[in-house]
Amino acid sequence: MNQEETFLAAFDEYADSLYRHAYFRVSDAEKAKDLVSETFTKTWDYLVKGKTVDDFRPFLYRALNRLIIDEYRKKKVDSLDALLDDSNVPTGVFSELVEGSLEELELALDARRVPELLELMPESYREVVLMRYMDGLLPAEIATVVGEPVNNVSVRIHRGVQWLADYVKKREI
Amino acid sequence: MNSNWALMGNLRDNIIRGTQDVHMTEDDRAAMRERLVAYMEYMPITRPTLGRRARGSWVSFGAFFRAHHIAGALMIALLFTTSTVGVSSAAAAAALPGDLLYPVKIHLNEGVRTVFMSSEEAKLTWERERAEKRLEEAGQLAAEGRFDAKAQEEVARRFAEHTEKVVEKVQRVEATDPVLAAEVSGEFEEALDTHEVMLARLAEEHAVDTESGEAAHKLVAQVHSAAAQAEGIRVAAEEKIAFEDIEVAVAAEPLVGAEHASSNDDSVTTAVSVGPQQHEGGTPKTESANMHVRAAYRAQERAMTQFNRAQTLLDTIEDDSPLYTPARAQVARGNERMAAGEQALSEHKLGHAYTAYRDAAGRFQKVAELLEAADLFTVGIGGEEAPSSVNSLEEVQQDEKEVPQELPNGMLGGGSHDDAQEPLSDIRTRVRSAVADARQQLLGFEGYDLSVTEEVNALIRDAAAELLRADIYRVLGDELEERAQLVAADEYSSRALGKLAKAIEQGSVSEIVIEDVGGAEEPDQPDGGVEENGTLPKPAENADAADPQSGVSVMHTVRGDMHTVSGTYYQATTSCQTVDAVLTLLDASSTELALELSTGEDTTQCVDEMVWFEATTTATTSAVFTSLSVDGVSTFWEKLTPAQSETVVDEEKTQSSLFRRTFDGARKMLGVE
Repeated sequence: MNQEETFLAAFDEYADSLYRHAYFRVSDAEKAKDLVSETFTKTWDYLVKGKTVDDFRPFLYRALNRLIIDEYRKKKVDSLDALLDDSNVPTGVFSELVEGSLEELELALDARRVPELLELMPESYREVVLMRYMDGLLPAEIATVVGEPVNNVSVRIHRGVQWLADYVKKREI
Repeated sequence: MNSNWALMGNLRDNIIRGTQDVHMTEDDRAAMRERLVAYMEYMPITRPTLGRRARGSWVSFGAFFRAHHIAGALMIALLFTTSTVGVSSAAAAAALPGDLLYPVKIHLNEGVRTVFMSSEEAKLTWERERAEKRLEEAGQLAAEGRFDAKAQEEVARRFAEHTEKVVEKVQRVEATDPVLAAEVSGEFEEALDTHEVMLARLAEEHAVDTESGEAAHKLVAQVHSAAAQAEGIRVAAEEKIAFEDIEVAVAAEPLVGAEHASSNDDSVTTAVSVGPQQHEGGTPKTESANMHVRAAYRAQERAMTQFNRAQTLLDTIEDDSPLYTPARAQVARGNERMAAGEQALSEHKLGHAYTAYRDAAGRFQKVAELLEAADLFTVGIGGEEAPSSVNSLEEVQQDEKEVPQELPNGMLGGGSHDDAQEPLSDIRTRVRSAVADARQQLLGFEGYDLSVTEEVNALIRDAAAELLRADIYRVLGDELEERAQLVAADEYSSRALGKLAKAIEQGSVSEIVIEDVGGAEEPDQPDGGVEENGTLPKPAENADAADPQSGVSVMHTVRGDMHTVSGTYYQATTSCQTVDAVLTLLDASSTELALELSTGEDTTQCVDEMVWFEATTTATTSAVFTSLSVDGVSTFWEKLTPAQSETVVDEEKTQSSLFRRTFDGARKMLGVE
């Protein structure tokens, strides 16, 4: 396959999941479409410059993620700060943290409520939880997408899951 | 761990099940894909130089796109990128008012971009950039001593159009987002200020006569009043942001103040997502507090961006440049304002912070723009003599163009070569006739091997591309470059002729008798020949290769009851022609439009590939475009069927449909069928 074909194959394979990801990040169908479209044109621009992409999936997610962050930057300074501020993420033994409180979620999480919960979830968690569970990226892949150490990513995923668990629990009481 | 995996699977399942309903519609997806394919074609992956490009790859790329069945209004981009031999968009990008390719730049290069934008902000920014582009072009013309009354009229009209759109869009944005409105109008204002200064200076230094001096002063006055208008909008938007009130409120009750905004994630997100809280005065307090935070932070970000831009440029100029000291002083002053902004922010004085940052950003922006412009026009801010504009333009173009690296005779080597230089006009004439010969031989004989056809076609295309560029450099007065392009064109056309001669020598080729080359009517061709085929051959490519006559690509645009038909008349022959276009109504009920093109000899300027035309008339909104004639003869052609053609309706309710003439004979020649 030549580059054009490979690129279009990547579109066919990932456009939908990128759209879904964007949709839950920005909560706006039109905006999500724009972002996906731009993700692909930006990626194409990159190829036009004579560069190559070995694995499109993380690359596309990285491009999309940057665009989403730009979007936040335009709209909500506050969330951006929250998003970028990871000074309060403890460095610890993250293997203990990863996917820790799943038990609590197992029974409680109702698929029908997932969109609503995602909407409420703080952006810094939502970003990684979506990538991990909806898009099925591995923590190491997510780390390259967001440009953070794997450790931080794992902590954020853990906290996201914890947040879900807490939220569901609180709502049930 | 095992149970964790299982559980994770469970969580994943739930999330996947819960989100699977969100997807694009088939239509959205297909439309996005089609736009993307068109974009890919518009911005193809090019090989480093034309000389090195693998011949086969271009052709197979074309075949690839044909196979992917591109259509839609965006086809227009394809028509142009291909019909002008693959470089027109790049060539057109360098065109200035008065140049033949200028309309291509305005209508296509820039027009196509808007199709890819759907957000208001993107469109607004783009419109602003276009307004500034017009001024840059004016500056370039002024620097070349070419800015006359005609150019001034053209620039003034287009600048006014863009400015009007900017104003209209900013005002619309202002209602919902005064922060953005203030930002955009502020930036526009700064840019216009800079252009005003630059234009005035360029006009003063380069005006060749009183006419051009007056033309420049008219434009300067227009820019000045546009800047004042932008300032008015900015001030109004800032009033709407109403900082004074909130400074007190935020200080008293820092709900989402600056400090808060950068600290705890959860709480801030919650604060933002709650609805407007009622202030004692009844104003939606949270919302306006957020607006202030945003305004201040965005101004800060803008200041930093502009600082980086200015600093980067500052690093590139020499310490002893007359620009260095004043530019540095401005940057230093900007830095002071930045510091003031930081201080104000730390005290929650958002209004003060905003003002300081905006001021800093403005200073940095000005420095950056002046340095960029000075670089472009080689103009000294300090008032020393400017070097000749030809030199500076060369430098500019040096960065942009592709330089064929395997040119014979070391033409780019600075003229130290001993070869007696052939006059440019001689080379031009020779190359033109070689290209015409090659075309004639390709068209006039049949039985070529497909690979020969493609190869020769590519060579002719490259030769024509170089000719086109040479023409542009001629218009710019850059002889060195013109010569380089002509020499490259010469080489391509010779190679094309060589290949053809070899093929003919091998004996598989025989002459075709073409009856009535001058007539445009092709009555015996069935309607819908292209549909039968199921694919869309690229008309331009085919025309390039095999259409012995001329081709027309037309776009029909409806805005209210104004119908505009514009497009290009493509000439396969090498003689230059002018094209006059008249759009008329075929019937009394104003439902059918006819376009009449009449050609004439053009002795003045010639870019021998295509001529832009445009005609306008009023008719009912639903009127359709049904017929075309060239010099009184109706030509066979088609409107793209709805399945192939996308009618673009933008926010201004403009409808565009694309028409093109078919090249049935050409397809046969190329073995497409």
